[in-house]
Amino acid sequence: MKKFRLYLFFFLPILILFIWVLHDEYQLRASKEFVFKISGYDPKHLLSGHYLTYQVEYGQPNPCERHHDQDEIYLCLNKSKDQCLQVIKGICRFNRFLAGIERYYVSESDAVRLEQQIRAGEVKLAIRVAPNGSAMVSHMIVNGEIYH
Amino acid sequence: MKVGHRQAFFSISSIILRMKSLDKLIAVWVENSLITAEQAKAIHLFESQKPTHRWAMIGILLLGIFVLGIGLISIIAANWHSIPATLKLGFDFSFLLAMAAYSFRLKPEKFILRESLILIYIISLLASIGLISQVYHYSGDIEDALFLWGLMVLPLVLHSVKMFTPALWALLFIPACYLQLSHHIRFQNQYDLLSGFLLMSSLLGISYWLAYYRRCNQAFIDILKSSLFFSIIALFCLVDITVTFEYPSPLHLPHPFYWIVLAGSGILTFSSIFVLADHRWIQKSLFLISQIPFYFVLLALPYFTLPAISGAVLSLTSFTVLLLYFGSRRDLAMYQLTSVLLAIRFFLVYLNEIGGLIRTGLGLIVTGLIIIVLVVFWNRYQRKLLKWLGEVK
Repeated sequence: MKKFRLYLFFFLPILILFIWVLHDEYQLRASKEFVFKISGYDPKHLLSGHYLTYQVEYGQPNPCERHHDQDEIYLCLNKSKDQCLQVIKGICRFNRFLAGIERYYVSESDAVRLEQQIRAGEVKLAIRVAPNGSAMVSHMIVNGEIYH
Repeated sequence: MKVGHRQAFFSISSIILRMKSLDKLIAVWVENSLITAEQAKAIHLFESQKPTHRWAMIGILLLGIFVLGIGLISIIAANWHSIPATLKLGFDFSFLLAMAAYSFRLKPEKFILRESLILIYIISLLASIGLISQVYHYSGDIEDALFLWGLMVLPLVLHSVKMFTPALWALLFIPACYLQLSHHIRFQNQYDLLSGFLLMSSLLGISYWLAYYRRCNQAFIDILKSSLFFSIIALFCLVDITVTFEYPSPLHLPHPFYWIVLAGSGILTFSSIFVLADHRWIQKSLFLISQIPFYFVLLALPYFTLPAISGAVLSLTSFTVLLLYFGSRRDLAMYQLTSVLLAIRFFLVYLNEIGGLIRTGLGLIVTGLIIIVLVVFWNRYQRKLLKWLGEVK
């Protein structure tokens, strides 16, 4: 029993991380893809470290204008007649709707060029959204081509 | 210098240092006829044969571990886009498995190596969380990663014998818990901030009590105890700052959550007299008395506009009683911290309330004289006082 406990102490964290990776891979493959334009909301701090931060343009009025900070809200991405077929889950922070997809890790050598392209409106973001509304970043599209 | 010679050098150095102070003590004892010359010789021989802890080696080893850990994290942060994500993750998991397997198979006798590897392993786990966040472009905050990490490695931390792993865990996980709490409480005013700190202290108190009664490793218990006292002191400082500088507006009333946390914390504090089994009655009393001004102020805060000096009175009273408490518990580190904070608060009282350098200087001279008299008094009547406290017979 003691040995089993020791196994658990040492290997459980690795198992947790592995399950996390499997969950993300499943969501990337099984969820529906949506593509949106992105823009920077604060050009001075557009680049932070080795990732880009940006604002996703959902093509709808800002839902946070009617909600408080930290409120969890759902935005409809795909409407059919009066029914919403797909929602995206997010929270309001500083009057912005954030769905956990507002960051994209890039290599240092590409960062400045990408930043300029985002400002020029040449970049789109492909995301995957699960039926429950949780979203993940899939890839970036720069001038019609997938960014690698 | 070869590795074996280096080890010998550090061992001999620490032996020499230890023996020098012991020689002085033994000489005094022989001089005062407490021990004979033969007994002195026997003690000297016994002590010189004891194995040393090679603290210098352990210190350098720890430095190496932390430099390695930071290097790992830097490599992850470099974000090598030329390497496919699958390869990065595959290498990462292989490394973690290898670390876990090797640490697991190490015999308990090789505890320094084992503890070092466990420390590297948990730092690697944190780096892995960073790598996964990078691969899947997570936009969470650092406290989210630290919170997940803290929960994941808790069983390993409990298993650890030395204090390095629990200390690192407490340093990173406890502030992450507080930040997570602040996201959920949604701090809007001073009452929310106080509730957050109060809740953290209460949770630390419960954790310490659970660890103590579950007989967890002493290193883990000691770290939790230190964290608890740090949080209590931080809370006193926060209340002092609130009353002195950031008094809540009469327009803002506390959320019911404030009263719930205050009541819960109060019950927890006063029930400590039943759970602190290793405390004498005087120590329990000192601990409780140190908390009373603090609870009084928190109760009065929403309904009465307390004068700014109340903050100073609260801090000075509570810190003085805490000082006596830590002194009676022989907790040197907390005693020294509390006495430094007490001195700083004294100085600030004079600066704020009396004003002017001359008056401040005169006030400090008087205070300094009082402190000197107290120390002389303590030195002369220490034994009688400790006897009264029940510390000695």
